[in-house]
Amino acid sequence: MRRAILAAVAAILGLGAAIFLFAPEPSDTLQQVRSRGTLICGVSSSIKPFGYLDPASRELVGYDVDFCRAVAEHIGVRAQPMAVSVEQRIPELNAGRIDLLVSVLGWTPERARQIDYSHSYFVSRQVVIVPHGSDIRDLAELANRRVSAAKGSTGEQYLRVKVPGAAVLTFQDAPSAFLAFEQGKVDAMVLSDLAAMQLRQESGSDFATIRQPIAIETWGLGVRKGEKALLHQVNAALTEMEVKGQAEAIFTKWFGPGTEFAQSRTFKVQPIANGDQAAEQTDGTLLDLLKAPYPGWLWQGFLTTLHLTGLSWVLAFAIAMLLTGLRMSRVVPLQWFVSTYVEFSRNIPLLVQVMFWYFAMPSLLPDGAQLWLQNHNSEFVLATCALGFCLAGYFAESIRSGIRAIPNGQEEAARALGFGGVKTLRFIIIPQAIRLSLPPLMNNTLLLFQNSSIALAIGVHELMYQTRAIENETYRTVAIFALATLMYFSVSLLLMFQAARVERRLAKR
Amino acid sequence: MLDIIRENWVLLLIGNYPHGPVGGLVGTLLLASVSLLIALPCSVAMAMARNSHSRILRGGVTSIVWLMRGTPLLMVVFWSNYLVPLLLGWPVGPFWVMFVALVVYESAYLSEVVRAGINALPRGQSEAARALGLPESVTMFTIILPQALYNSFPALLTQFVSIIKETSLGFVIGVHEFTYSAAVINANLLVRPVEIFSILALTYFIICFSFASAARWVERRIRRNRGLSAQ
Repeated sequence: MRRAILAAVAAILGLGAAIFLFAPEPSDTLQQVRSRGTLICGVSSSIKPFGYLDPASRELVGYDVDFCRAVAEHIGVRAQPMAVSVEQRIPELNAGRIDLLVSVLGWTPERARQIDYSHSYFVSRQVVIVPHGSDIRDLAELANRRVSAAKGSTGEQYLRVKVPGAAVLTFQDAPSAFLAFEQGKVDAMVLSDLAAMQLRQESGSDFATIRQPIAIETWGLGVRKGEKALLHQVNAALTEMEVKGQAEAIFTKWFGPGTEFAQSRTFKVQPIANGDQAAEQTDGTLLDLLKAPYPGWLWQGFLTTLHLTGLSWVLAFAIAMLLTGLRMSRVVPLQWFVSTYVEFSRNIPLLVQVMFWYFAMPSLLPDGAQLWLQNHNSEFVLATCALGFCLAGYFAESIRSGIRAIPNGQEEAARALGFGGVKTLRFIIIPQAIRLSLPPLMNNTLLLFQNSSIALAIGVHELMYQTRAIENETYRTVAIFALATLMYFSVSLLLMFQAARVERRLAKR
Repeated sequence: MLDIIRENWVLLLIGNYPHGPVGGLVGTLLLASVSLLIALPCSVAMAMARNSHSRILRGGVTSIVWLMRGTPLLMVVFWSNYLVPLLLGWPVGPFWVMFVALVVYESAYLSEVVRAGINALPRGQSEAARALGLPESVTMFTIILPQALYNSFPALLTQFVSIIKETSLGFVIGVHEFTYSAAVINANLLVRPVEIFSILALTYFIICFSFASAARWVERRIRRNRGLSAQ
């Protein structure tokens, strides 16, 4: 067994080393695009009106999609828009899954180090919105307040730089971030002014915008570094679109009079200022990972994971005891309730349960409870509830299997000795049942610990979330993933050993 | 609630196919089935390797199983998302990334199920085969495996339920499966999360509960057929 563990640890480390031997070969994307006959563009699928899924036709449409089509037409190939998330778009481009990024991509020096930008095709103001009547009046007052943003968005990055004291909460996409804003889980949200306008119309709710923009950003199309031929073609296409008025027409189609934005175009396609300057900077090294703040992030994530696991374990155990009590009562509807509870908790994906708790549950709670949640790190509390309530079903089943394993004679003997129903339970049945159900309970605990990583989907800063955050900033994927895997693995191993020990001890009896 | 289903049922069922990959509920079931189909033979091979005489083979496979049991699936998914395109050298869509992650992860878990099935067979079976002069490989493929797989069929069905649930994690890397469809609708409608996530949860429940019930039913039948006492 020990050898197996050593081999497993070696495998994690070896994997890291092996990957450097398989670097992807550079190739000319433009040539590939031409021979393939399609240009694969990464576009957003949930950011109106840039790239979104039209519910009627279920096709990707929007300003970005139109630019993708126009560029493809200029190259003489068919356009193939592909949905990418804001967070994954640059990794997807660099992995070669897409040829061209047309995905609400603002220029930042960090990104310019990872990809090359075309000329600008859009200019946007990043603003901060707050609820009406909020006491936040300017950007400085965001310090120590909770602000939501789409994961990996420029808004998030500008916010971290301009207001270092703000607690930034990131979400899968802008609508999720807005939902958290609207449900009062955060004090403010950072997004583009157009998106703010859009969300105001869509949701029918109203909010105030802080006048001073957090940034004015220029958007470009993204290509992989070193793809000179493709970049040249894209820039030629954009310039031609500007000259022929096609760029203006696309703007008017999505933002002009007659749309809900009623904007006029105030920018032109042109090279992005500073565009070349940042490209000169060199790549970081592995040692970047040891620099502040990354070790702190990772450690804090680890602690949050343990916290989350511990608290939801206690919750799950308490509910499971309650369920067991209900099941042992001889009231049929109560037994029914317990079986239904167990089946629901075990037959719905945990991710869905977590999302349900986070997005749907608070609106079902009374106002007082909602208010309390807003002020108490709601994503952590709700993730704890989701994990606890779900695992309670598993715990209850494990305890039941323990109770079933107790011979009937035990209860009969207790009765014969004059024990009442409750006393029999407390002194005879439950102590034995817990002992018998320890091995499955240990397995459930392992499940709970590992599944706590799912809380990343709602923005809990646990180990997996921090790992991804560090990866997004340093691009040291292998090293940071290996480290996180090792951390998960060592705690899991501890739990597995303990489970094996308990099982051996029980077998001896 | 009904109007959401009425307006979006195609999106919920098949995603934005034919304008994109097959998604929605069909995408979820497709991903789960294909993963199980490939993971099953892998797991049988792994279970056999763990009972083999070669120490290296045994140790290697054992450590893979331990590694998978000790790692969250989400971690495996992120690894796969990074490694699969890198190792293959050509771009791989999120569906296949998730497929690889599920196959690797589930092979390890399924191999435990299959191994338990093999080890639960009475020793007399393999001893009798040896006494009849059957070579080891023939014993394995014609005597042991058919019985072991038959006996562990309910456990395999239960594992299929796990796989269906696990496909939802594909949402995190952008697989167009059922949860993704619901999230897209949620992004479109914005203010009706309770209804959308209820539809999502109930649909998953109906599917998974049906398979889980089928597993229990099959288990009772097998116990009866094999002359084992029902619990």
